[in-house]
Amino acid sequence: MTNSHLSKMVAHFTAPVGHVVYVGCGLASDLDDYLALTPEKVWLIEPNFEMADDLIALEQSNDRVQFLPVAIATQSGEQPFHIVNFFDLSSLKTPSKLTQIYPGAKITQSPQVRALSLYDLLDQNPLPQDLGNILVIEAVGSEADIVSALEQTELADQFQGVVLATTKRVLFSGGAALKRLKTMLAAVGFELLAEDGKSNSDWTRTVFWRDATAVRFQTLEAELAAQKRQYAALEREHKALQSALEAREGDLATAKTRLNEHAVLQEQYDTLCKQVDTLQSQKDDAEEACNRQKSEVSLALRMQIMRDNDFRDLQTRFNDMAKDKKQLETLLGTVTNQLRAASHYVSILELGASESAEKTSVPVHDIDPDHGEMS
Amino acid sequence: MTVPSDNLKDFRRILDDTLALLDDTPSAQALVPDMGPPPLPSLLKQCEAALAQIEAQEVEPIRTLHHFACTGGTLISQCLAVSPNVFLFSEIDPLSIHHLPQNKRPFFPTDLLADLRYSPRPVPQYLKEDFFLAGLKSLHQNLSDLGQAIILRDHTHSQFCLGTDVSAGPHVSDLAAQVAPILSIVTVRHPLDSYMSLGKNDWIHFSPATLQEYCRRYLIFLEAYRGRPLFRYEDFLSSPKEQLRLMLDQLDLEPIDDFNELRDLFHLSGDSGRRGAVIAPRPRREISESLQAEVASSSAYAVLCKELDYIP
Repeated sequence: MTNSHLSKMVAHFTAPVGHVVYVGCGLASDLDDYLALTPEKVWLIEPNFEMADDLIALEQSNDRVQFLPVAIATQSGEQPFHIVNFFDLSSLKTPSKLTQIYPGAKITQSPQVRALSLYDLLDQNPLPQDLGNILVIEAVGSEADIVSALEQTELADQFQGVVLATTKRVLFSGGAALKRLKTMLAAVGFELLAEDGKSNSDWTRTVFWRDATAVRFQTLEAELAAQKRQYAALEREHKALQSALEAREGDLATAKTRLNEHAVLQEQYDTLCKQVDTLQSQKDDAEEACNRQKSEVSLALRMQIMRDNDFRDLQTRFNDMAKDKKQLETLLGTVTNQLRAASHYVSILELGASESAEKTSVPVHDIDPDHGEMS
Repeated sequence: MTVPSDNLKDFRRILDDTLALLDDTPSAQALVPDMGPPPLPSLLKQCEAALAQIEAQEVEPIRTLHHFACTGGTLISQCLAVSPNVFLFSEIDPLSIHHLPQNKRPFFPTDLLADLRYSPRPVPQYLKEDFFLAGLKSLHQNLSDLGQAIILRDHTHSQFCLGTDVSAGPHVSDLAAQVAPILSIVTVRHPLDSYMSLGKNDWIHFSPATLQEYCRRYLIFLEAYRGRPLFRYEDFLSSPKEQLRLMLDQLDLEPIDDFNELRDLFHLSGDSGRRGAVIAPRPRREISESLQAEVASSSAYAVLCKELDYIP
């Protein structure tokens, strides 16, 4: 990587260079190039303890240089670090094609090292927000992990430039090819400024620049477009709702009309119910009166029958008595005539008696018992 | 034959008086027949027969009806009362105090006899009997004049099912007999049925309250009215029209066909049993185990069933 590439990158910065976060710096062979950008500070981040002395010496020789003996990983904590006999190929990742491509390469040891996530690193070592910070990624095998951390917007926003050094072939499991890394960086707004794959037969160095304002603008534009789409959708929905509302209003008006009609009908119904109640009451009263009258008529009828029976009985007895009376009257008349005849005869006897008064007695004939005549 | 003039004068005077009486009767003048008079002995026989017929017209009898409570007496009484020109007096006992509360005089403004019971000065029983007889005599006379007959349904429960002296008289029929001739009938029901109904109505007023005691009193009742025609309620339910006619025959009252339609015109006291428009037999009520035991042990019950020709 030449200084011209770095200068080109810094030229796009909207603010002076702030901090350079140099991840996997090894022996910090490019430190001078970065110091030439006059940053406030250069963080040398390297877990390989074999480099520590040199890096400490660099730190002590320059106030702007600070050494952090940690690895950058997806999560903070202790992790094994595979030290390869070619120190710049040492990695947190397990080698895959490393020995195929570099037959002489071998892991010399895998000590436990302290690892920090990029988020924790920046949380513990805040970057100046108003300056253009640079992220240098030379952590072979872990590039994708670090770049994916930038997908968190607030981390990407802290850097205006990224310098990426990658092996031309993927050597570690979980590693990513440059093409994929470019895509990942582009996705968070980093624009490729320079790529140098010729200066070194094994490594490719690329420089990216990120315009946070543009990204923010793009984001806002995207958000605006999304909101426009949402607004359009909402407007369509509003129109639909408006139509529905109008339809509902129509329905409501109809319903109100019907409600009014219903109220009128309800009133009529209530009135009719009252009339029905009144009529029912009158009907009940009439039925009760009718039943009472029926009962009274039935009673009167039976009383009439009873009295008719009494009357006919008396009539029969009267007829019998009248018949007896007729017979007695006939007998009475006959007896009367006979008594008259007897009286007449007595008168004759009295006359005879007076004529013979001077005599001592008058002969009297017997009465004929069979004819009732004086014989 | 020679008639003494004094005798002749007497005979003449009798004839004149008689003719004067007859002459005062217009009907006799009008009814004198044109035909010749029948022989005198025949006329005398006719007069004697007519006189005998008049004399044979006895005083209207008083009918009495006797039965124990819960024996169907109310139904039978109602049916009898339907007979023409009958006045039924129901559950009568002038000496009964069963209906009178002891401590408070009820309101009975028409009942002098009952009022006597509440006087602090007691009156002799003959006074009550005379009072009753005077009323009954008046009723009998006046109703007879109206062509109406009396049926007295006595309250045998007062006489035979209250107190201890069940033989104490006089009974209503004894009193009524002092007013007019009596025609009586007795009606009965199976004593087990009537005893159960009595218990159901809480009308067992004698002690001990057992079937034996009930039947003992029932037998005394039957003895008091022995010789009176007896009818069984069960027979009446099976053939009401025929049985009613037989009862009315015994009481010398006219039968009536539509008695069932008219009987409820007569509202009588008692009326404790099962009601219905149709007169028909009904199943016996369930007999409790204790009563079954009484049935098995009661000698009076056995005698009574035999007396009334019921299966125990």
